[in-house]
Amino acid sequence: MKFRERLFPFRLSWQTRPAVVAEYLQSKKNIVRSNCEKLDPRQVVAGAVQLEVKLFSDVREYLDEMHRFTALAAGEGVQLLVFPELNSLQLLGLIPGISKLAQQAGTEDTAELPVTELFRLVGPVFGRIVRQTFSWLAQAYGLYIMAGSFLVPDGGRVVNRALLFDAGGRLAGFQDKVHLTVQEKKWGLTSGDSLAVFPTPLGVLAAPVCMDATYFETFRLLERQGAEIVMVPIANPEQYNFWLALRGIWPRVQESTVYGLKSALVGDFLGWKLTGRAGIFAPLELTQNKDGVLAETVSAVGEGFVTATLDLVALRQLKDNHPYLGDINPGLEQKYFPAIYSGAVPFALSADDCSLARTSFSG
Amino acid sequence: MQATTLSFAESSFCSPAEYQVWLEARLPAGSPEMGALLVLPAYLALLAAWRFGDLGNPVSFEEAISLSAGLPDRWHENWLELHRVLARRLKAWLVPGTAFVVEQGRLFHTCSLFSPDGDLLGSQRQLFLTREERKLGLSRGCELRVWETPFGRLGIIVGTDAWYPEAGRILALQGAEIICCPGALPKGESRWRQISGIWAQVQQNQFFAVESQLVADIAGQEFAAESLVHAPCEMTEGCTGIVARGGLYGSALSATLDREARRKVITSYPLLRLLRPGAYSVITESGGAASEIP
Repeated sequence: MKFRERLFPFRLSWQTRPAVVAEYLQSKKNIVRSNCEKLDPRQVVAGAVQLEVKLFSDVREYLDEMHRFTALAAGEGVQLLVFPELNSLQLLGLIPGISKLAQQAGTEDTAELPVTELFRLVGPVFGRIVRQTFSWLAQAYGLYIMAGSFLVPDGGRVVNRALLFDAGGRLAGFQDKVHLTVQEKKWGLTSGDSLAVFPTPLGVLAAPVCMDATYFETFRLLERQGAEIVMVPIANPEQYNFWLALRGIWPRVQESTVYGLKSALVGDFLGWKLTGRAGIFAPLELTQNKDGVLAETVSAVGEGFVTATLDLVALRQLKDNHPYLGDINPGLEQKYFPAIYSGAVPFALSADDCSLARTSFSG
Repeated sequence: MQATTLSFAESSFCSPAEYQVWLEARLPAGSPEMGALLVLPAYLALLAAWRFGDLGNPVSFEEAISLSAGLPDRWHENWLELHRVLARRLKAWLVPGTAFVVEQGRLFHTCSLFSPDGDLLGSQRQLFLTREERKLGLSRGCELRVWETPFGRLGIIVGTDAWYPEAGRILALQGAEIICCPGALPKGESRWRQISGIWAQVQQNQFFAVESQLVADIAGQEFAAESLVHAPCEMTEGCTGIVARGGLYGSALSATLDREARRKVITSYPLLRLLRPGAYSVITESGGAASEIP
C-alpha cells in the first residue's frame, strides 16, 4: 500500500470529524417536531423515501440530503421514516479520484470492484457519519428512522446492515442482510444469520434488506416473532419492470399479513442503473382498491417520497379473522422443516401422518 | 410440453355420460410419446354430484360440501373410473379437479393424478384450511408428493394452499418443475388475490404452474376467475410471469411450457441456491445488541 493510500483514512476521518457533522446539523433552523409524542395504533404515519444516488465530495452535501427528506417527512406528520439500501454510497464521493472511476464505469466489469476491501477501509468512517447523522435527525425531529442499509466492517467481515433509530435518537436495533445476491457474494460480503424484530411504541418493526424480501421465509419468521411493520430498503440494479419489481415485498406482505414499507435507491452509479419505486403496502383487505398498495411513487427513476397511515388495530383484527390465511399445519412443518432445505426429505414419502403435533416452523 | 385447463364455464351437463361427451369435445389429445397435461378446476366432483342430482337439493355451498361427504364410496369409484378412461383415451396426464373425500373418518379436500395409461398415480390432499373450511370440519393433509413425468417432476397445490408459500417451497425443494393448481375463487374476488397466490409461489420457486379456475355455480355460490399458466417472469413476454390466461368463456386454455427457457432463467438467477436455511432456525427476540454495532 502506498503512503498516500495509508494516509487516506486519516484524511477522510478528519474531513468528516464529528465536530464538523455536529456543527453543520445544528446549523439547521426551525426544528421543533415531535410526531411521536401522541401515538395512536389506528394512525401510524409512515413515510418511504425514493433517493437518487449522487456522489458527494463534501460530507455536508450528504447531511443536507438526509436532512431534506427528514424535514419533508416530519412536516407531513411522519412517525416512521424509511431510507434505502446502501445509503452511504454517496459518501464514496469523498474519495479522491472516484469521479474519474465513475466516468469510466460501464467500460469495466464492476463485479471485479474490490468492494469488500474498500468498505473495510472507509466503512468505519462512513458508519460513524451515518450513526451521528441519523441519530441527530431522529432526535431533532422526534421520529423513528430506519436509516437504510450500509456496508460496514464487523470484525473480519463486511455486512450489509440496516439501522433503526428511535425517536430519541438511540439506536434501536440493526439487521444484517441474510440473503445475499450472487453479485454480493462475488464481492465477498458476509450474510447475516438471524432475523430480528424490534418492539417499539409504534408497533413491532423489522428491517430485512432487499433480497431478503424475495423469500417467504424471511417474512414468515418475522411474522411469527410478532412483526407488524416490515421495512425493506432496496437498491435494484436492473431496468424497472412492474412485474419484476412486484416479486419482492408485495407478495410477502400478502402472505404474512403485515404492513410493508419499501425505500428505493435509484439512479446511475458506477455503471449500475438502479431503479425502483418507494411504496407502502398492506394486505389487500386494508387497501381501498383491494390491490395491496397504500401509496407508491409514480416513477421508478428520480427522487420521490410517499406517506400513508397504517392502522395496526385493523391489521390485528384482520390477522385474527383472515378469510384465507392464518392456518398452521404442525404435522407438515414437523415433517419437512428444516430437513427439506438439506434434501433430507426422501423423494417418495409414506402416506400422510397428521399425528405429529409440534408447532415449530424450523424444527 | 402442452398444458391445458378447462374452467367449465357455459357447461350444462346433467349426467356422467353428458359430462364425458362435453369434456372430450373440448380437450385436445396428447402426443403419443409424451402426453398432454390436462388440469381441471377445484370442486369439480362437487359440481358434478350437484348437477347429477346426487346431493339432493342443498340450499347452500356449505351444505353441498357436507352432503358430498356422505356420497357412497361407489360414487367416488365411478368418478375416478370415468377419468381413468378419459386419461387413457386422450393419452393425457390428467388432474381431474378436486373432491371431498372421507378417509379413516376424516374429510379431506383431495386431488388425484392419472397417467396417460389410465393409472391412478396418487392423490394430493389440501394442507391448509380457511376459516370456513375449518368450520366445515375438514382435515389437513401432511404430505406433499411429486411424481416423475416425461416433462419433469410434477406436484399439485390444492385450493387454499395457493396462499401458503410453504407448499410451493416444499415441492420446489423436492425438484418439482410443474405444479398443477386446481382452484375456485368466488366471483368478484380481487385479481390481486390471485396474483398473491400461485403467481407469487411461481416467482419465488421458478417452477411452472398450471392454475385451473372454476367458472360455475354450485348451490348458489358463484365461482369465476381466469385460469392462468405461470412461468418465471424472465421467460415471459413483458416479464408478466403469465404464459397464457383465459377460460372465462368456456373454451380450453392451452400453453406450451419451454423447459429449456426455464433452465436458462434458473442458471442466471439461481433463487433456491441462495436460500439461507441456517438463518431460519435461529429466532432471536430482539436481534443484535445495538451497543455492539461497529
